[in-house]
Amino acid sequence: MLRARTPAQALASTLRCYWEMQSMNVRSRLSYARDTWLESLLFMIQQFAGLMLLWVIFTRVRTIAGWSLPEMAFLYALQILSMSLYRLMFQGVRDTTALVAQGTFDMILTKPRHPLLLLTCRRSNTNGLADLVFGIAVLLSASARMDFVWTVERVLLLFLFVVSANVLIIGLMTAQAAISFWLIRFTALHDIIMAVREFTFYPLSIYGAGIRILMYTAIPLAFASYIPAAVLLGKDDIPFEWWIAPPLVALACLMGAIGVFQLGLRSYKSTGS
Amino acid sequence: MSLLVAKNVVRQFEVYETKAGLAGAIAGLFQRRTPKIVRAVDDLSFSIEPGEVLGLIGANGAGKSTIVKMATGIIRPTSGSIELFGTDPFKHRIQAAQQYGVVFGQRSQLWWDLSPHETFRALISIYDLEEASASKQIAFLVDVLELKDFLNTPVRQLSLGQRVRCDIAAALIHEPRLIFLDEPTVGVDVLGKERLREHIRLINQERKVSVLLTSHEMADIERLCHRVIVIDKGRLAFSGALESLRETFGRERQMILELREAPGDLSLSSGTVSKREGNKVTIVFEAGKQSAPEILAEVARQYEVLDFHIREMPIDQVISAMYQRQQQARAAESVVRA
Amino acid sequence: MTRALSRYGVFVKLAIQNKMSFRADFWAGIGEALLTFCLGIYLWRAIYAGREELAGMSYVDMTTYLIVAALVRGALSGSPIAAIGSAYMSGANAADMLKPLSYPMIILAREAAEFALHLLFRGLPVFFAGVAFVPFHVPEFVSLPLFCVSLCFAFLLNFLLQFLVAQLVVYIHTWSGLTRFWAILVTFSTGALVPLPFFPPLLRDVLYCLPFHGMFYTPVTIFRGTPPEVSPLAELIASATTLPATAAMVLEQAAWCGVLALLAQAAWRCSSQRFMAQGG
Repeated sequence: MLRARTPAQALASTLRCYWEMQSMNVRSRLSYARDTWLESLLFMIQQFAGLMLLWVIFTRVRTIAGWSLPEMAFLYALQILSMSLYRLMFQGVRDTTALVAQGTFDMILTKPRHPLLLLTCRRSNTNGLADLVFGIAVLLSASARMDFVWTVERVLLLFLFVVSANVLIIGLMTAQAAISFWLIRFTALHDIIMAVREFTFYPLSIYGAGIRILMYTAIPLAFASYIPAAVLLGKDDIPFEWWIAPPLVALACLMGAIGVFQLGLRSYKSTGS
Repeated sequence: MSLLVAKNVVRQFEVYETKAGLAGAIAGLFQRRTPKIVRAVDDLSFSIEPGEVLGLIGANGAGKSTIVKMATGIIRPTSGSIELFGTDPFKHRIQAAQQYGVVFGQRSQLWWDLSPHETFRALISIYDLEEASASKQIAFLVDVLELKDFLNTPVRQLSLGQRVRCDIAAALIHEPRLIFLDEPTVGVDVLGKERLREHIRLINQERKVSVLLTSHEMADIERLCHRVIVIDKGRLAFSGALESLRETFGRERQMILELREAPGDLSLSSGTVSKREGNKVTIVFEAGKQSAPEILAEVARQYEVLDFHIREMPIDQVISAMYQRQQQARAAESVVRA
Repeated sequence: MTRALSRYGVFVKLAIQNKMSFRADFWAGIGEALLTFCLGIYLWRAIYAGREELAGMSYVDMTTYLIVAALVRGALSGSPIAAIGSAYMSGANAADMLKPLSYPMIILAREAAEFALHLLFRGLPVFFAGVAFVPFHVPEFVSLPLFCVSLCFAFLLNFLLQFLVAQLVVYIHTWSGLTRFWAILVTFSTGALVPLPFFPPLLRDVLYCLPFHGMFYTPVTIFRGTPPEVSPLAELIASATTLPATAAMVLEQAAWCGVLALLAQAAWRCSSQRFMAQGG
């Protein structure tokens, strides 16, 4: 049943495969409709609680490092949007660690598709939709409080930034998943990335040099939400020309991560007899 | 032309041992541990021909799963070569995967919350199949494997036997010429096992699909396999037709009898007593040479029998018996030579 | 009594060994705790921005609060909800439930082991790192024993509350939602991230009536010696018994532990049947 394929046909086949499998995932989630809604609701409440804490702090101070409450909320919203698409469409890559540890990863290698495709298609986290909805809602209400006008240019920039941020996160998560080919059961790296991500909820200017270097290089999450927020809000410490940085960094990160993944695959030894 | 050819395949693993006890655990945090080299597969050669069912027998840990993983291109042999449909399955994984099917007994490739039918449809796009011929194949599989009743039930609600049948169907949708069944009957009830074997036999006969069947149950092998290879500690211990294996090594049976009272002397004209435990006595005899009903009658003439059952020789014993005899043969050979 | 202790002691020992076997996870846990601590320090430094005091706490008060909070957070890293919930969903609880021991006590033994381990290998390292690099109010020696007692009660409160929440798993059949729910509670009501005095008055009063602040706010401020603010119940106890405010707060923790223990027992009696039905 082998069919000779041109690159265009191969791409079309891959996209079709992805679409079919993700539709199945969404339907699978909907088969637990009540649980899905409950989880999404809880998810939004959790994001909201984070915002509430911010609000509590701002009952005592006017600004933090020159950022007002609406501006902080704006940053918060971008932070939430930066993982929304990843959660919705690519979070399956996170399962790599568990699959490798259980020895079930082999089943993915017995299929005539690239493992990354099959991994990302394993599940669809509908909380990503909750992220999108909540993020946009906060973004809009924060910009209303600041008299921030959404010009066409700004909307396009927002779109570019959200997509780049998600691509960047996909890259980071793929690299993290690839580590499990060498260090089995190393779920901690994922937790560390998420801990570092907590830092990006606040303006990077408050941190010391060491942390900032980390956020711009090794785990470049600065480009996921802080730079986009600073560019859109016209903050002094980030010149407007930096708008090109998030997409470039995101692409580089993704390419690098896929490379690491390929290396990991090659050295993969399955567990068990 | 053989579908699969393995030549002098060796596979080594590094195994890290954890130290016992609390102190060992703390030490493990700070020290690098030195690995032990384990040979899971040692100088193995075999082939699979079109249309045949090859049984791969061995005790747990003998290396069967490793062989399947190398044949499917998941891992690469440390040395030696494997050719699947004429190419190296490790180097050309995607190409190879398009041509074989695999069922891992304890793990399912079906989507858990959806029906098997939905998984089949997903596989059509994963294997990039033509809609028309794939539908025909699915219809055939549903018929032969008797899946119609639960084709649209969520997989999580299926029994193990039903699920394994669906997994077998899923492995055959893309019409491979060879499928690997890795312990497919483990955990299935006795009746389900019978039906599974029948289904596998049908598939092999109707569509001439070759099967590499790994199992540690003799019944699976007896019912299905034309040829068998026996693996012991990673090495090939026997390769040939099933009859010769059974003839040579698998004849011993155990009859376990529960008597009304602990027996004293037990005189037997055939069979030997191997164990006594209170009221129970175990008699070992050779099938074909000695008759079970006769032994039973003889015991019943001397003591009152409450219950009995007959056990086949478990595969581990068959293999160690075979290995023992091979060792004896080798020892005898060296004596003759000396 | 000692025999009972040694029976559960096996679980403690096994839990410790189990935890230690994942070397990389172990070091990464410390790393994560350190990162979270750094975040707090930088954030509050920016919030204070040179101000002398906020909500009755000076800047050094705040940094001391953060250091001790990191200690407590490290110690309370274990998750009974995850342990109970995932065991239930996978049926692994069957093995434990068939033993001739009380299932909640088995979980308590394991969590106690994790508490001790996390305190030693996560809480304390971050604590000492904090003391070394960040302005810190050295406490009066007198308050340290009381702090230790309070910390133990904080662990018990954490365990009992999580145990109660975990019971819901038999009704909703998923436990990841429960951990999220718990995280929401903790974020908001324990004083782990923002000390309770910062909250607006109405919210603050509501939070003081709940047991959650006993998990973080109480032990952290007891460490300092003189808490900037005391819950109404503790004030009541203090005035009734002429004990210092810190001792009263510990008594408040103890009182909540008692109430929750009774609740937990009642809840367990209701749901243990369903727990057993699912397992195995």
